[in-house]
Amino acid sequence: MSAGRAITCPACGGAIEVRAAGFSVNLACQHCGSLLDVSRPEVALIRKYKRAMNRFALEIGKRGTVFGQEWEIVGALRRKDQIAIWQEFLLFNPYLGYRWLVVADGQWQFGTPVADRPQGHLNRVTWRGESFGRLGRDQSTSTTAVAGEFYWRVKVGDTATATLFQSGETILSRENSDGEENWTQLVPVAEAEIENAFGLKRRSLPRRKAAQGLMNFRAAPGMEQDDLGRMFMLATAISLFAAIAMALLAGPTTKAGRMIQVPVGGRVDPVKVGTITVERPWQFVTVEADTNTFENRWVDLEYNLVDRSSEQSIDAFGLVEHYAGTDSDGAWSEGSYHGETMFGHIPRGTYDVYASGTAHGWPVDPLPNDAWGQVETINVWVKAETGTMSWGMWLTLVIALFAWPLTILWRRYRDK
Amino acid sequence: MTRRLILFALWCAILLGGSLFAAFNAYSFYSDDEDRPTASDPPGPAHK
Repeated sequence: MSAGRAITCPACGGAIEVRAAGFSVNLACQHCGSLLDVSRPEVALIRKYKRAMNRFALEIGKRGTVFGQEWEIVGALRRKDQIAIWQEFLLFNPYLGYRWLVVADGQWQFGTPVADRPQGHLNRVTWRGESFGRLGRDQSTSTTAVAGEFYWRVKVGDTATATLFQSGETILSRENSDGEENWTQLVPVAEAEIENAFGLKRRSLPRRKAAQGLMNFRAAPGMEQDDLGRMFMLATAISLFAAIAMALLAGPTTKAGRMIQVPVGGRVDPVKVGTITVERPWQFVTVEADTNTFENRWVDLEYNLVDRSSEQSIDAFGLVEHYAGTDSDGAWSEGSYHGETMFGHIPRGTYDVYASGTAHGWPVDPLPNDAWGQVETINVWVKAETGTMSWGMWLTLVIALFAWPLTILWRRYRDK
Repeated sequence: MTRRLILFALWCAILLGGSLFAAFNAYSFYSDDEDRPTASDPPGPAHK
């Protein structure tokens, strides 16, 4: 390998070895992180920093063999786009030149600079007789950390626009920065090979989920990260389809209804509300209760669906309650004058609907209104209906559908 | 189509199938059969 060149950092006085002497023009001091110009014999300070950026998965200066060739790590970058963070390592061999190792989401790729520019249009390019299709949109990338030496002027805050093209497992990456266009060929390399070659600081690997949408890994198996929009579209389409299908499966509708009067402090015996018909093998039956206005009362309602053929009864219960008062914070009220009860899994048949109920005052039942013992009553309008759908089930479906893409979205922003 | 998207599509298919099966048989987590509202919570305001 090459003979290094020893220099002294003009910012911190630390000893530094220029590993690719004669090739490197830019160096980030390993002690203080200051950027140095090492292209000339006299080292010049480009920008002074106080802290070196050492949190990289591979150590600068390590040598190892990848794809049968020995390489030395001379530089490292941490970069990000709108949704991802990844690390790039510059490898050097004086006989072969420079190569890249890129890691994101536990996946490694080996990059070779492409001198013969691929030919083609916006969405497809041809390189060495092979056709490459474009992957996703252009991504605006920026450099967030720099360590080691480079053959170009690099600094934190550098930006570029990256576009990816794929053919099989091979990716061509095009980066545009300051009017300069650079192409890199990327091929997958096993993490075990990288670990054997250079050792690996796993704690410093980019966080796996932080790499979603990463430009260099979209084409790797299972790594296409531009699918979140499709997930949302799929979830939306299935939600709408399910609403229509569930409504169609719920019908047809029959209704019955009447008003009952429930004495406060007393009860009303079962009253026939009407007759409904369940025409499908199984249907929901919903019973709604609406009352006149009252305060500090509750009405317990019992509903019975009596099958005309078997005389068997299916029972369910409803509650309407409303309370109001005044405390140190002012007036308050709670409850509703509306109650809804849903019978599930009602088999086909004709049912007589009965309703009964009791009403009470809170905290105690009121006394009769007058000397004749007249009691307060609550009017309850009961309406029974077949053919309703369970909106709760639909909402549960929607939550379960959107939980997946929303979790991915949340983790992206959390990692960002 | 990514592996993740395929898994998500499978997840969607399972959920949709389950929902339609439940709708056809009129099953719901939220039906009130045999569930007397005042049995678990005594009547009265929750206001403190």
